[in-house]
Amino acid sequence: MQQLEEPQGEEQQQQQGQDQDDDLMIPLNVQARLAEFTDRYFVKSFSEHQYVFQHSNRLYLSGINKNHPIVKSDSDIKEIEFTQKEQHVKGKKKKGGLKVKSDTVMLKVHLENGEVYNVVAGHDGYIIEMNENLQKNKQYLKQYPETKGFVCIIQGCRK
Amino acid sequence: MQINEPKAILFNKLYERDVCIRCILRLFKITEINLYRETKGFIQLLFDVGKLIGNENKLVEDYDLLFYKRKAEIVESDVLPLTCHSSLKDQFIKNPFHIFDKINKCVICQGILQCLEDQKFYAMLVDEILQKQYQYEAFKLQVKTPVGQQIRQILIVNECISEIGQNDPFYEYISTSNVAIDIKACVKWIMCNPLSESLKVPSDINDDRFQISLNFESIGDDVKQFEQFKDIIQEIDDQKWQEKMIKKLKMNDPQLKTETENRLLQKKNQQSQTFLPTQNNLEKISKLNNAQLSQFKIINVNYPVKLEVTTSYQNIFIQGNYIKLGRYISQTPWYIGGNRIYEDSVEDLVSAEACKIFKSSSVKFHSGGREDIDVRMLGNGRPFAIELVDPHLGLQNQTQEILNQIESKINSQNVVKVTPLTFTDTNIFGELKNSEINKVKAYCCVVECKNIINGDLVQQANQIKDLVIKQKTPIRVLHRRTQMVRDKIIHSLLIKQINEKWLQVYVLSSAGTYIKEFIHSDLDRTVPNLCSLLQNECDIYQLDVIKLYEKIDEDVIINFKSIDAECGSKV
Repeated sequence: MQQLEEPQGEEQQQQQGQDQDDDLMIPLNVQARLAEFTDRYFVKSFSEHQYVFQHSNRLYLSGINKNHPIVKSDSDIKEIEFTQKEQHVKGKKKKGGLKVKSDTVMLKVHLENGEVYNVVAGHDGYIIEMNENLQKNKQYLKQYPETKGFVCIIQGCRK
Repeated sequence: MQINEPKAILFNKLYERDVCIRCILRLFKITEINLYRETKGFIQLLFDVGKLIGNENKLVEDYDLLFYKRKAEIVESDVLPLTCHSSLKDQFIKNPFHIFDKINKCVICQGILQCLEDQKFYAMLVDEILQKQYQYEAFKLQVKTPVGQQIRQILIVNECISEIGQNDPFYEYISTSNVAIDIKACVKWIMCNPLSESLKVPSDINDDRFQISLNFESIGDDVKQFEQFKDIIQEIDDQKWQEKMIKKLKMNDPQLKTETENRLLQKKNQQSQTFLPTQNNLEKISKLNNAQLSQFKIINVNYPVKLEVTTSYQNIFIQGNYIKLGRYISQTPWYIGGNRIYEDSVEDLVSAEACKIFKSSSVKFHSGGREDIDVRMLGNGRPFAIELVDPHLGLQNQTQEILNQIESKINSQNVVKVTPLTFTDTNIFGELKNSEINKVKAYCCVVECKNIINGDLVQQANQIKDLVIKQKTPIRVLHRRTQMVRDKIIHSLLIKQINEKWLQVYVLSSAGTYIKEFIHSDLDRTVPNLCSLLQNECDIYQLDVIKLYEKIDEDVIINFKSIDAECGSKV
């Protein structure tokens, strides 16, 4: 029932790559990187300073993109203020989420040099989750705006 | 049966009102089964009753030998039979007692207890059963009767007793509810022997395997009978609703009060307007007292009774462990909008042969947990059970040879394989649930890192023991799972470097851990994760479930460290 084989050396693996089923094997000598996590599952759409990524299960991930002045500025983030009240969702149907429009202000970001920027929700719907990591790791918003520094996850309006 | 004068008077009254003799015996709660079967004894019974009421031969003269009741002319019915109620399905046999078309039926049982001696009825019944092609060595009979018969029973007993006008302890005994023997019991007493002769197998109430269900229905009659009670039950329901409202509207805010009241009113009015013959409504009616009931009467409609014959065999369970050698095989058939995604499924591959052999009408697949579509399941396999629903050929095929045959057929396809199968029963569900919640699982995956790997951190990670991780619900399942944080344990890690940016990672973790999210951190919603342990950005390519362990202990961890020699997943 089990196929007992010793894990082979690297050259043999590369050779066998051509012989065996291509679906099962990821060729290890690929130079270009395969798609990132956010590219594999999400359809990306960008506006001027923000983005909305739609997952294949129709949830929306939204945040600021790398062209946003916060990211481009030299100054660090002093404080991130969550302007909306925290509401916890319950259950599988995520009841109780905050209803937002795409221009509802979710965050007010204060930089060290005194500038203040508003970050909006980006899509209509109900907030499932705000990114809690931003409270402890403010620099995520600046360093990884399109991955770890996302702002919120939104569930589209139910039909 | 001992007859005294009050009994005889009541017997006579009921007999005059066109109740058949078997129904009268039921009402008098006679439990000697032979009295129901020996129909020749009815004439003597009538004679005895006649003597006591002072009119010896009258009842005997009026006796209809064929139908065990008083001879009566055909009476025009109170209501004309309309077309069938829409809930009667096609498989109902219209008028199984075809000899009974236009003659007056017993007002309580509507002919069911009168026609059970008809040979043509048995021939038709046996024909229906044999057509379905089952294998069996005994049978158990289940009977369902029309809902309205209990109402008719109460009504006619009360009417007769009030017409007699005398008080007697026997009359009080009879008119308490639920004293009479049920028609169902009576049908079984009468039918079991002749049916068992025709089918050539014994009838056994303790043998649950093969069941024959007879469902007698007369919806038209029942609907008309129940309709009468609509107003009085509505009154009682309204009263109860008022009392409920007083309790629910105990709030001070007047606006909230009117809102709630309107909402509850809307809900109440949405409920069905017609008073249908259901078990619920029957219970409401049986709570009425005799005074309230006296205003209602039996409605005569000459609908023939309809019969539905269904047969079923007890479900058969087969259990084993499966391994999945291919990717892109879903566990159960997956449809989106009517289209089938991914041709193969574990359920299809495993149960196809068994379904064919046992000729079951459908199959249910149960497993102890599941894996993603693109993940292989190796090692000792995942426990599963298939439930063959209503297997026609279940009796003779429950042997080890058949199981071996099924097993070799599945294994020959080289996509999904199973361990030696065994028969089991419903206790398997506890074990499957246990496996899903308690077992510790070992995985192997291929991981790519964005930056060059730091060997020291890899060494550190390999020393980890029982690391507690907190996982928020992964984004890829967030649309159908509750948003919450789950604590899981990584018992051990074994990381092997393939080249400067690629790793082969073996993970030993508690049940229910999302491994993919542990590796790529799911946008930092799983902490700690492999990216943070190796200070690198990691992504996962292939995942295999290697082995399931019962529980965690030292031996398991030692076995795990040498697991790559044992199972050698193909990278």
